[in-house]
Amino acid sequence: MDYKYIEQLLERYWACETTLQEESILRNFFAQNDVPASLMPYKSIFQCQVSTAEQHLSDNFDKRILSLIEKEQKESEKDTVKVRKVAMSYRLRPFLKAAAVVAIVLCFSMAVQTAMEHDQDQQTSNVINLPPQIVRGDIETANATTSSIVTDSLDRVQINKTTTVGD
Amino acid sequence: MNETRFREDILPLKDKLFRMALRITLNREEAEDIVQDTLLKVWEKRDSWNQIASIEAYCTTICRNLALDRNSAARNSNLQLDENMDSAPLSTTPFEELSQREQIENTQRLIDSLPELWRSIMLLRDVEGKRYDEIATMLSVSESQVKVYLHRARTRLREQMTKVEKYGL
Repeated sequence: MDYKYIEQLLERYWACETTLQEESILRNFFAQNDVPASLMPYKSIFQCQVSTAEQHLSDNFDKRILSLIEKEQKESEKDTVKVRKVAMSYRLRPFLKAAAVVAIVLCFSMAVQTAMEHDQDQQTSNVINLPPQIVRGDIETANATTSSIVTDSLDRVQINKTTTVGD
Repeated sequence: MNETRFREDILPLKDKLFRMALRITLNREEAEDIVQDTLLKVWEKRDSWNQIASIEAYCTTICRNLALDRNSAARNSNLQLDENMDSAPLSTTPFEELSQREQIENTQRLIDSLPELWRSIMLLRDVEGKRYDEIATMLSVSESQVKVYLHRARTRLREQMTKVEKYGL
């Protein structure tokens, strides 16, 4: 049998000039039992390639990797943030609440302040015996009251003078 | 959608990836772990699959990098792959079969003693049947470098085999 073609192919194989198809021919050739003695040293190289190609993963690998992937997918779905539309009234709710609280506090403080001022006026007018209008600062009423007091005092002085002169 | 693509396009690459990891680590269990890690990594990147030109090249690159990371020369230098040599009968008589098995194991040891890049190139070309340009992409080297390293690897192997035949070394 002429092995010239195989020998040529082999030379080209060492020089990395063979095509994938030619390399496949060499593998098929060396897979036979009757290989000439001159080519025998290289038989194990090609047999090695064939036996390496037969190496594969264990049978339960697919099941294991698919369950891991499913688990990972579930976990990533859990971590995903869902987008939700929020109405404007809902967004402004905290501000409205804060504004309401501020308004209530202001109203309450004003009411307390008014009540306290009223009590203070009463007390002041009682101490100096003045009409509460003066203490509060009602100018027109105060002027009128003051002038009536002055007139009254002057009248009394006049009466006293007349009485003294008469005596 | 993604799961279907994973099952159809990526999962079938598992044995190729396994052989690549096995050729580097020379340890079956470790190689299996590496393939698992590789596939999980690729799955995590599922949103960018459409931007990848070749998913096979992408997977191979990840697998090789993971294997190289894990591979400790000190730990694995004494290990040899021989657990898969119990395939189909090689010869007619038990004696011939034993003799051929020994030869294959010796050849495998010679291949395992080659530099890692040479081994990976040989595996991708001679076992997986990849073109030079595909190998270059997978291993991130130029096409001419692939040819140079493959030539060196084959020449070294040829010399060793001739020596063994001539002198029984």
